[in-house]
Amino acid sequence: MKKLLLVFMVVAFLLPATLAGAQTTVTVWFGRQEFIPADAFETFHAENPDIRVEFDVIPLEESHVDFMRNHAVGVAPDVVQIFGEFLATMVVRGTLLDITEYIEAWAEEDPEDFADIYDIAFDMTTYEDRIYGINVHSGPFFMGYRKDWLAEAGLEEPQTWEELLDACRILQEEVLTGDEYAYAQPGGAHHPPFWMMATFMSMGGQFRDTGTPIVDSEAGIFLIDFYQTLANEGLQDPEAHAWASGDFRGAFMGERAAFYPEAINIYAYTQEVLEYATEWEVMVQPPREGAEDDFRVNSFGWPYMVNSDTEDPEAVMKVLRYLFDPEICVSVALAYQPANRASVMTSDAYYEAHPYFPILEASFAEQVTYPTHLRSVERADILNEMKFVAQQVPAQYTPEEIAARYQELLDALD
Amino acid sequence: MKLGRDRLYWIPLVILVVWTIFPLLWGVSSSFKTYADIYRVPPSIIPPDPEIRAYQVVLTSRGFSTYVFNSTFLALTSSFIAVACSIFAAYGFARFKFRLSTALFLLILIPRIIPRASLIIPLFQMWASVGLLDSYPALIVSYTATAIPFNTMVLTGFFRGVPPALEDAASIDGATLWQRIRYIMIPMSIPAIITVSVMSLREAWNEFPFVLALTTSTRMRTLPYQLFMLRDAMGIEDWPVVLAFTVLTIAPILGFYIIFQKRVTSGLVSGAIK
Repeated sequence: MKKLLLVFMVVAFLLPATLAGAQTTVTVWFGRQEFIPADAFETFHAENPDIRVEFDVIPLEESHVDFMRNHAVGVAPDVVQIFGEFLATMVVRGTLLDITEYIEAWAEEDPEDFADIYDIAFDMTTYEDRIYGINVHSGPFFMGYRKDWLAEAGLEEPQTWEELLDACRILQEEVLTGDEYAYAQPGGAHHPPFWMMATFMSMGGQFRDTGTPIVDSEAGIFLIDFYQTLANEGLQDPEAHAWASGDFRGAFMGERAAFYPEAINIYAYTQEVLEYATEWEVMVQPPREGAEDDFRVNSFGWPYMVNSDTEDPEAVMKVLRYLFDPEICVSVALAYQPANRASVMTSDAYYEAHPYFPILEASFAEQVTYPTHLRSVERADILNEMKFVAQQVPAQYTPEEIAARYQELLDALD
Repeated sequence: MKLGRDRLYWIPLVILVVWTIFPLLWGVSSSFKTYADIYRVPPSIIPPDPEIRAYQVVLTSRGFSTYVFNSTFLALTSSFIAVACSIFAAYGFARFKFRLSTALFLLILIPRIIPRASLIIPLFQMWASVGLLDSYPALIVSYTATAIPFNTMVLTGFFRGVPPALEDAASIDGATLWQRIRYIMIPMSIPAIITVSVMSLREAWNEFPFVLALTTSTRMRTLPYQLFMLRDAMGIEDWPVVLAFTVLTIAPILGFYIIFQKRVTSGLVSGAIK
């Protein structure tokens, strides 16, 4: 009896430790609270009792730096969500795991599921033909505009940037008064140049292989000229060069701007204060005349990247596939940022929540990634300064001079 | 009306007060505005439709009590340790002449001169090597170490102003070193000790770079970190909530500072002139 009791005690003592040892822990850093699945991995834990997901929120503005610092001392999480533009730096520093073979296996194992995924899900996480993560959500910038004001001025939706600029002039002259301005956009001081690069790409702007934008091209000079015109002809608020994202969004929603380049998640708020389809409408940012073939819809995303030191890549892949499961990512898509899955974006629930999406749907599926760069932060600083100079009133330099000056600075980064 | 010459001095003071107070008033006022009112043009200092929604959002938000606890615990603990250590360090510098004492006194001020950002990487590696990243000890020690130099400098100046004869008399009566500090120096230096306590508390309460770099979990976050988290370029920034959070973050330390303001001023001045 004593022996039996002893055996029982030993088993009781060792069993929990053995079970705990069998369980893999996968740590995830989300870039925003809103990206965390609505069920907080409850279903995942039920389906995968051998894997425990621990997660926290590290703001996207900090996550790549925090990750690399923690990676250097071996305490980084298995999965980190980052701004896609930092991919190159993280790969070159050897902090990310090449998961190409796992993605290829997934495509082979479940081709139907894989066909549901937009290319951007992996384009944004690919560096030198190898895949390092999955871009579950992305948010390209489109264009919101005041349909009623355009109608009042007898204008149609502009089809090119040239038409849009003409529309701005007519609106400013004939319809807008006081503090109302034709165009609203953020300044450069507060944010990376996402909005500027979206416009640049729609104008046909190209990048070098290093990810450096070619701003002394026709598209770049056109972009600078566009900003100079907005500022110098009084088509945007005189303080717009100092605006943060909230200011220009507030300008449109506060009925003080006719056009604003924005992403889908912000349109969800816009329709709460302005009546969609009667007061305002959305469109894809137009091409530049003569550069229609070079037009692209930009994509900015927040991909989940895999730590090069992760001990159990299979478990990590299960977590990533869970995050990308249509039933899971739909909750994030409906409440926050669009998902790169056709079945989610073309679902009745999504159309109901975002009635303007059918207009954007085709372009959303064709997103092209904003290229990564090894010195992404410096690239952003130079581009922001260029935009600031372009908005000087009165203009101090010609667009060509500005383009030449900043192309030189950008090229020096390569 | 002819403005007296002495009244002219008031002009820059008034400008300075308005410069300081106005943003604070604007922040408090805007925390009671609706989201739409924040962006209304022209703006108004008085909320057109005041509401307390932002405060309700903040007070009921997940983790708010954790951030309050962390800020309070870290500020009190690190301030207490920093002041205690500084008293002994300052007493040594004030009362004992030893080899290289002046050089040591200057050395102790060096951490004060070095930008905090440049300390982050070495500190991070140090805490990582002992497995204390994302822990209270890492933050408490880091906060304490950065508070000690200023405290020591202020207290040393003050201690030097306490007549040594008092301690001599106590020594003759048989007082030990500890008793002289405990019953003579500390009671006579209360204004200076309050000063350094308030300064340490304020610094720890507002500290941001260390908590940003040395922590990675929500359970360790403080109020300034969470305030940083509220900024969001990817969504609609709820400015009334950000400002309500700011008001609730600065209110305790502001109240504390107002209560002890006179003593803080006198403590700093005494330390400087004695």
